[in-house]
Amino acid sequence: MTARPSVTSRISTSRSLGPHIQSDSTTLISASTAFTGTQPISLGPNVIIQLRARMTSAYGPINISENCLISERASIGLLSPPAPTQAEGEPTGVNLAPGVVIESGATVEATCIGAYTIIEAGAKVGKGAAIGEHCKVCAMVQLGEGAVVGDGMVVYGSGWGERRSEQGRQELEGMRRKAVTEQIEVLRRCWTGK
Amino acid sequence: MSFPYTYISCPCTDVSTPINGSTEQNDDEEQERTFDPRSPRANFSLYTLEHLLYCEDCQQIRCPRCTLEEIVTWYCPNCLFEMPSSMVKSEAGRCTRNCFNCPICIGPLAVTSVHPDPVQRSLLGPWILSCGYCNWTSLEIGWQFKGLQDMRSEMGKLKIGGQYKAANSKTSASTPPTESTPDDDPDSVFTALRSFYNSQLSSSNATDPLLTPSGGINYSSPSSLARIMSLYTGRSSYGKKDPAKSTPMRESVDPSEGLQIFDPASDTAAIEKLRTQGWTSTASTAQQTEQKHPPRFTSDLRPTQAQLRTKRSKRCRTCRHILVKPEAKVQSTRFRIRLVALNYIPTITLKPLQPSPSTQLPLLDLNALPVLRASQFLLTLKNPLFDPVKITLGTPAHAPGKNSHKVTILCPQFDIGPNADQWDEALGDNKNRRASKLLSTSKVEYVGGERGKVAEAGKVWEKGRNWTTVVVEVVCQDVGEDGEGEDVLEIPVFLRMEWEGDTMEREEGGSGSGGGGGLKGEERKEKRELAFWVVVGVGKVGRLEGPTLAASP
Ligand SMILES: [Zn+2]
Ligand SMILES: [Zn+2]
Ligand SMILES: [Zn+2]
Ligand SMILES: [Zn+2]
Repeated sequence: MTARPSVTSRISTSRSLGPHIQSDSTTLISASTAFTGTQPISLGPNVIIQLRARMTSAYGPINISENCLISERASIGLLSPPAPTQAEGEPTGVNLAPGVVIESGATVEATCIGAYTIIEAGAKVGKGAAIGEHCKVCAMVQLGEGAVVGDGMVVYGSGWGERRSEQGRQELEGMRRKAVTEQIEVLRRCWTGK
Repeated sequence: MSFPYTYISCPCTDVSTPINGSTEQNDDEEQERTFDPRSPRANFSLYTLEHLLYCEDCQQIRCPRCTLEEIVTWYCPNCLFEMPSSMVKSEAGRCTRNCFNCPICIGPLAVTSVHPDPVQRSLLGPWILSCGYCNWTSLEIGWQFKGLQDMRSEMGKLKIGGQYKAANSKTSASTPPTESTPDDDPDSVFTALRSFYNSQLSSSNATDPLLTPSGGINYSSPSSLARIMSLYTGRSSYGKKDPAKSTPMRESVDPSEGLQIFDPASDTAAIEKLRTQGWTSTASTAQQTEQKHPPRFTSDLRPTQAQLRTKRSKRCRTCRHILVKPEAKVQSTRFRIRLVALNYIPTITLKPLQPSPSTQLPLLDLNALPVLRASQFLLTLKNPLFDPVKITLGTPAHAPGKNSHKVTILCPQFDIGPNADQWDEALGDNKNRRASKLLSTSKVEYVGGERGKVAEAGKVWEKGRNWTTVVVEVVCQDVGEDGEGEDVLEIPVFLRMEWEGDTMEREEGGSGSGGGGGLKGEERKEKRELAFWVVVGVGKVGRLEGPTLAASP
């Protein structure tokens, strides 16, 4: 596996055209969000995209389910062409399950991220990675291309990170779901004033 | 390591070199005069300027080796509670409040309630510990706390899994512990073993002077010192007892005495666990060292009490004057006294002087310096003192190491202006003001870039208010293929600075530390000088130009 390419090597070929964005009436998108690429971007209900987030669909579509929160300066979408070995019928681009929180400055190129997983500030998730449900990728952790993280795992430490599975999380799972919904609600009230 | 860098050698290391060395080491002595950054000893005397202090009384640089540290305060980094030093030892340097560290990632743990009613959560337990970073909670080892008052002692009674330890099995010697539930908690096994061997020791040789009544070993009493000395000198007569009198010590024989019988089932269980849960379930070395009784698996890790931190003051090892003294209050980050070398000796920076664009030579790359061709660098010294400073730089003609790169400082003697107020210079004459442009380290400079300036021997390249730049010329030799670190070009520079400083009137001002602005009757100037070795890391020597040049991008 090679190191993931740096953000600066990103080429936005068709800036003038822009992607086709499909969104719900409850989706909140900051005006300073940068949408680039040509492939479709779909945003579910109650999704909030904060200031200066970057959505790049040049190399694959982006699919964000409901109740996701994309924080400031986060980057979603493939920044380089996907691996050619991908089989037919497999999910392409970046897919976020409901309730995923991407914190500020994180770079997400993962193929899929499970429900109620949180990607913390400055973390990087490489191309083709698959992250399970209720996971936590701690701040500044860099997950390489094609990394697979099972459900309920915490990836912490530095660099590629160390992993551990959470035990006894059944009691706390509900709490996290509630926390995400509350966070989104508060943000919505701040933005819309109601 | 990123180039360029500057390290300063503290002169205190010279003390360790023999002063009157034998005559046969004549050649060696000559070499020791020029500081060799490659010698193994150099690693222990080189510091960045930021790490050095300055003693005003000795008028010398002070490094961590030649300062003494004193602990001012002990405090907990989590709750910032200041612990009296009398308590530190008995508490083993740990915070006595509810400050715990995560066993997985050593982050601080928060106390949270898991009361079923969310409204009552701020008031009522049960309480758990949870880590905000890695999401570990004490529920993973089955721990819930009833109260907030004495979590520490409650933790001492809990076993992994949440059961309470058998209460004091060792005191109830009359009732033998049931074989079915031996207390295998490492803590209680240890206490049982300890008390057993203590009783054995006191009964077998009650008169052993090395042992204190509590079972510890007492080295400080005169009688035990005499005994230790007799052991070394071979006179075994001291304290020798009749062997018939002392009964031999026996080993512990049952679980109440701390005996643990090896159980093959535990091994199979461990292997089974490794097989099913894999590498992630094993505790890392870092995690194990935090624990009192290092376990094999992460599931057996316990939260640890927060370790105390200290605030320290530093003294000069030679004259015992205080160099650094922090404010005693934990919350304050200020210092009462702080004599850092940054305020006394010039900062030294190096940057490449790029060849003139007209020559069409490639730009200097510090990671591949040109071989067998002169490359020029700008060495800038910035004066922090309020007095003008006279600088003399010396460098060996050939950098140390077997490759002997040629090094020349084009202007080894120069002055640096005082670090005076901006106003002084604004009110001064026009010529001065013109020269006082800001010193920029990021700007790329070219030969002949401004007003066709070319480096000349004996001439300063540029001069500002409190800084002066001179040119260093380096001709690198071919280092060939071999050796790691051989291609690094480090230049030792001997820096001598002379200036006229204000004298501190010792006899009338008293020895008040720092001389806090007493009477300013007469300002007498005193000639001062300071000399030390500086090591400037320039860069890595590239490969010999020619066929290899085409390959490099
Ligand atoms: Zn020293
Ligand atoms: Zn504390
Ligand atoms: Zn933790
Ligand atoms: Zn001193």
